[in-house]
Amino acid sequence: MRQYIPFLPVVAIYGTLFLTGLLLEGMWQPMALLAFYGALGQVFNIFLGLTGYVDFGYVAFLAIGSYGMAIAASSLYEDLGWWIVPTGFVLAFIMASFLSIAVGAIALRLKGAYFAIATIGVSEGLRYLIEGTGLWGGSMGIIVSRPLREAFGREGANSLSTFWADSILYGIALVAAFITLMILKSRAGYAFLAMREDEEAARVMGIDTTRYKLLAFFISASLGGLIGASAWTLKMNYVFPSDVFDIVYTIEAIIIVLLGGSGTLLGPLVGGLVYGALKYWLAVTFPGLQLLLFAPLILVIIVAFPQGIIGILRERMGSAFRGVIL
Amino acid sequence: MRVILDVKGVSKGFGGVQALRDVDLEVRAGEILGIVGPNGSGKTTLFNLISGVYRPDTGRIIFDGVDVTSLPPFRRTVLGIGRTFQIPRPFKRVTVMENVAIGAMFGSSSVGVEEGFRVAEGYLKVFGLWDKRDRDAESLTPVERRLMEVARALAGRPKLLLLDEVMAGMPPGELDGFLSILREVKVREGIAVVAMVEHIMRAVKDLAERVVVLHQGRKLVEGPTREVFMDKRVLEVYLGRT
Ligand SMILES: Nc1ncnc2c1ncn2[C@@H]1O[C@H](COP(=O)(O)OP(=O)(O)OP(=O)(O)O)[C@@H](O)[C@H]1O
Ligand SMILES: [Mg+2]
Repeated sequence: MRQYIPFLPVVAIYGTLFLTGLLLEGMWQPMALLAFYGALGQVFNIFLGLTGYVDFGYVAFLAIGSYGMAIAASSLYEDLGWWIVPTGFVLAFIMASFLSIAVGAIALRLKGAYFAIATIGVSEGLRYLIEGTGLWGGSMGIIVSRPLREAFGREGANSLSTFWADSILYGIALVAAFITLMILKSRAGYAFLAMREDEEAARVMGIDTTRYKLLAFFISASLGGLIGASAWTLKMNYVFPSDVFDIVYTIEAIIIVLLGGSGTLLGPLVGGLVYGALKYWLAVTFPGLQLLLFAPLILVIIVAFPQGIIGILRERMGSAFRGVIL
Repeated sequence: MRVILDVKGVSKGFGGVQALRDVDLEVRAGEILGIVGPNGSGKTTLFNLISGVYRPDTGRIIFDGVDVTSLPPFRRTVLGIGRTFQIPRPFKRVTVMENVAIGAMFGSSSVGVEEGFRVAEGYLKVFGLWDKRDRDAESLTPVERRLMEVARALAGRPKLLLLDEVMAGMPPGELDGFLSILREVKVREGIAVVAMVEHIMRAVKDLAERVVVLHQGRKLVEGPTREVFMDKRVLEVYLGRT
């Protein structure tokens, strides 16, 4: 039982966000935005945080997942009815995991910067492939509002978009956090720890580093596919390649993980909260200027505190408490 | 005695430098073999070939009946080859305890997390690092780092342990203690130890039953320790340099 204790603060924070959104007038959307950033960070952390490798093409997995849901919804709604949503999640998961295995098997053999460049190439390449060949509606994308209305009725489709799509993100964030905790506590967690410090020495100590990297990449990517399916297709009811392949989401994911504390359990959650709140606050207080202020501010924070918020807390607490905050 | 490691005619070049030329080496189960030779004679390169950091240009490496010549390092470790690094490579921002536990978890013993920490506890106590178990490894002195690397390698329960100048810089008082621990562990675990202790001849003479001398990438002499150190060619190589 004791090993699950670090999970309690995670449940408490997401629970508080969820209830605040539910109970306070006008707070659902702001809380849902925080949950989105939390989920994005939590899921991306499983790869970046555990392996130390930066995937600049990560958004491709969200994108492919959003297509998975859109394909299921637009082509199967007549046969499946409301089952298109679970089917869509399964398809999103499968498509994202296949992409991750294909990309990972090749790109994960590359080191550091080469890996980063290769992954950008894959993401941009996939987008041009879709736009250029007209695959899945090409640059016109897929619009799923009608299929969803037919399957769920007007009311149902509306609550799917304004309530369920957001709620599912809380669920994905919790699942991702739980998986992170399980990994950190297992042999795999120590394999990642060793690998981040010195990959060659880790291999000499008996660790199959490529296998562990692929494992983290796979988990992170397939959960990312679920985020895409929910946050894009179900929430917006459309999928346009120019939106879902936007590199901004990759950059936000990187910032959230670094800000909160890479490779920690609570880091991406705290990072997501701080990032989301700061972005929201700047947009309200300095409308129009937010990006101008935001980018340098974030950069300064990350350069000044590379271990992130949770990393600093853990250092301050000393080794005896390291097990408490993960 | 059974041959645990059979290195057959390995060569390795780096650009213009031929680090090893056609070297044969046999290590028998449970023995302690010393490898000596002047700086740059290819000792570390030989370890890198055996542990899989590099692949040889020619030749084969057979470990415990398995041809490991083209296996990646982690597979060799799981089969039972453990090593230390001449320039220690601890996982720096990881505690001393965790470093050694990682050795146990992924070595040929492949134990779970809890068992890994239990094994680590034993070796930390043996090597006098127990009091520093919760410190990050980067806070250790160079000598402590070497001891930790030996503990980390042993925790994986190797059948063959490659020690690359672990005794360098060790104060004479500690050296004797270290040598007797090594002999004891060797007997208890039944492992073969290959140690290169180039600069501390006393340690080689004390520890090794057999010695191989490398010179400019070739095997110069091989034999029982006493005889090797009386060999003319060896005296020339060593006394000629120092
Ligand atoms: N990775 C490498 N790249 C280029 N040259 C190398 C490399 N590793 C070893 N060498 C060269 O190979 C030769 C043998 O080096 P090696 O480190 O094996 O010697 P050594 O016997 O361990 O020496 P020392 O006693 O100084 O540790 C040297 O000339 C060295 O410069
Ligand atoms: Mg050397």
